[in-house]
Amino acid sequence: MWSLRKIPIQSKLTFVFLLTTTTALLLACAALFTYERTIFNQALRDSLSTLAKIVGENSTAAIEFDNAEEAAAILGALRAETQVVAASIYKRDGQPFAEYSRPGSNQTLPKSPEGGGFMEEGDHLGFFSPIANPKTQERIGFIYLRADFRGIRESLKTYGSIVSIVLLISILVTFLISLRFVRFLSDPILALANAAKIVSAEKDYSVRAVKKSEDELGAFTDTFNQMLVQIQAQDAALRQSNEELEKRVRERTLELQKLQRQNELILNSAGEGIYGLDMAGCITFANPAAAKTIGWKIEELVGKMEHCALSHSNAEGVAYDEARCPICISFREGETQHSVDEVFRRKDGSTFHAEFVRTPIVENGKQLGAVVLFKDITERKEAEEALASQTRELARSNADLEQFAYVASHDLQEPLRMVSNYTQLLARRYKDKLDSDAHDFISFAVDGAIRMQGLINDLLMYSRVGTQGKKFVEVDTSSLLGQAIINVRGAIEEAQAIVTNDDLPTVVADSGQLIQLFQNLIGNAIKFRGSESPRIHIAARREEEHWLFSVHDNGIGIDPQYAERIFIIFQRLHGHSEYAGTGIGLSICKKIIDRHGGRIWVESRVGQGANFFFTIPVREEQH
Amino acid sequence: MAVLNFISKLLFHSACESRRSSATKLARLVSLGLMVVLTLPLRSAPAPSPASEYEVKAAFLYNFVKFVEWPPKVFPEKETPYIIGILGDDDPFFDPNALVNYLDVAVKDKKINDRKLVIRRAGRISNLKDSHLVFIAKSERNYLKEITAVCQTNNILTVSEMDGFCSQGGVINFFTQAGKVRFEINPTAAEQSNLRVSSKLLNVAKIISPPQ
Repeated sequence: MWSLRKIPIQSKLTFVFLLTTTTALLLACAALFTYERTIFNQALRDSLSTLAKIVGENSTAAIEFDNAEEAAAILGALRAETQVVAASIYKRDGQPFAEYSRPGSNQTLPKSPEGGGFMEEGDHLGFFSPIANPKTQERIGFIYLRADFRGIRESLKTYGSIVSIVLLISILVTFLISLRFVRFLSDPILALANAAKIVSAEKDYSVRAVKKSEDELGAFTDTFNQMLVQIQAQDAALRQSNEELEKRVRERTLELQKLQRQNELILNSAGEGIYGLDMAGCITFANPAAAKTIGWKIEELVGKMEHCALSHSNAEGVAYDEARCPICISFREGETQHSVDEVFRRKDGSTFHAEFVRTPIVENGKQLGAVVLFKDITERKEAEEALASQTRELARSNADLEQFAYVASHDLQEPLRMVSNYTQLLARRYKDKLDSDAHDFISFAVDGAIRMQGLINDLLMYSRVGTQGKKFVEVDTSSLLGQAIINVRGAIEEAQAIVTNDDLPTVVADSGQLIQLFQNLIGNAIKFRGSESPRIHIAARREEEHWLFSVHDNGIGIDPQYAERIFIIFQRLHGHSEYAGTGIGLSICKKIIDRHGGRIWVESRVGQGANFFFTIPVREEQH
Repeated sequence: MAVLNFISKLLFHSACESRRSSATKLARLVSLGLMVVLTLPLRSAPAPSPASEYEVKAAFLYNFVKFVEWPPKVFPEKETPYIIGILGDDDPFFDPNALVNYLDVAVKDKKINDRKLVIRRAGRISNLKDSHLVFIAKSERNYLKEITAVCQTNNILTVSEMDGFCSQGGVINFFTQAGKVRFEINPTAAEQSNLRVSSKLLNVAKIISPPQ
């Protein structure tokens, strides 16, 4: 069967047809042959036993009267039976009595009756049968007949030749039929195989197998063709997507090259020093600014250990050991570091102050290295130090000034009171002795003294904001507003003003100063009222990190160009005759808000009222 | 054969006397072996029958009964036996008693057509009228006419051993040919006795036709 695998399918099918037909025919012939043989055999046996009976019966007298000649004669009659080739009669004691042998055949007969019934003896069939006298049922002898199988053999031989010829003709006819029929089966398969071979060899998916039948093979051909259509479509799609992919890769490469150039440009032109590190702490790249700042060439830097090149030092300029260098340690922990004051060392050994940012490069959760960006901050550091010393100087002189203003205003009150008191005493005591001009002069002097006293009081108050402020505590601004309203009640009633407010928050502030603030702003609104009775509304809202308060009035308003000036000390927009006041009130407001870290401004137009805003930062109470 | 029997008997008896069962078996085996050995050459070259002439004739007389049919009337009852009669006296060549003995042996325990066989001897035919077959000795040569007449009347098959018996009305007559016992039959005489002789018997006999 192994060789069957290699031969073509056509031959295989033919072979199967022939095998089937031949097997069936052979089986049928074998069955017939066996049947015939059995029938022949049985017929022979039947005729032998019948003959034995007849001959035996006929020879009873010959045996019983010991007449061998007669027995031989009886046996001689068997000449008529062509099948019988020999016969023999034995007496009761088993001795041969008479024999017959077909002339021309050389037969050796058994010497005595052996066994019984039929015995196959090569070419012959022997048959032993006892002879009995029918009247006594007594056994008187035996008969033996021998038949020739040759008759049967001849018949069977003829039969066999006929069967063989029929078999040969059948096989031939089957072969011829199968030759034609096999093509029905094999042609579609071969067509399919051929198409598949072309597809496989030339990758040509446009090939189609020709459908030759409407059976399963036809359906298979259709399926195969459909499969080819799908493969063709997929192949085309694949090619297209490949092309698109290649195109995108090219575009992307160009973009990347462009980006690379840009990066190089940025690196090269950046004022900051930039260098890269791998995980071992080795410098992988550096830009010209980095090289220039620390006095190495780029080629020297790349491949050098960062710590060796820069030998980090602490702020005092003492170099770290690498194992304990906080930068090297934290670098390996993958954290972004930002230091505004580090000391780097140049190639020549000199040091400089540097600010640097160190960003780890992480890909897929794994740190690969870091990029360091640094800047020589020596100049900035010097500038900062200069500024700090100026600020300190300024604060000192400011404090001196405030102290001076306080002392001055406090000490000025005493002489001024004397001038005022004695002038008024002069006017009272010499009322009748002085003419009207003198009275006018005195009243001018008193007036000036009172005004000056007001000025001094205001100045004192102004200076106290800076020098005598209290601790910031949590205060409820609405109760502070209520207190402020009580303080300026007289002015409110006189002007018939209406003060309203929204819900106001609790803030952390100096309560006395906030009362002062509200008093000043309300007073300001009443003072600069218009023709209508004044209406003042106070509101507040939270804005990010501070509270925004507003004090809105319906007064005369302010030209926006003076919005800044009104908060400067002693700046007045109006003469004394129009509006009384020292021009310090809003300055005090500004100073209070400054102290609280907030901002104060005004939004207004002439004749349209004013809206004062101030902010107070949200902060925790300090204990 | 007689010698053989003698030897085997001798062996058998001596074995019996000396030992018992195993020795008996051994003796039997030995005698059996001897028999086979001694019989073989006898079979391959058959010698004239050692049996005596009357032993053969006794067997033949018994055999004749098988090949002859009697009219039913001679068997009044269902179990009426065949009766074989021996008629005649002693003479120097014939001993009727010996024949009777042989016959007794030959018919012992035998049945033909379910009938037993009985042997009877008589000096006169009148004493054998109920016989079916009568052997007539040579001594009766002179009374044949009377005897055959009685036998014909009584449907008796007559058998003898005298020359010319058949031509004188006898049915079967023995003669010797080449040392073998043969017989002749007169079918007409059989018919006259109302007996039917089987063709098979006729085939092995010499047929005698009576003078016209």
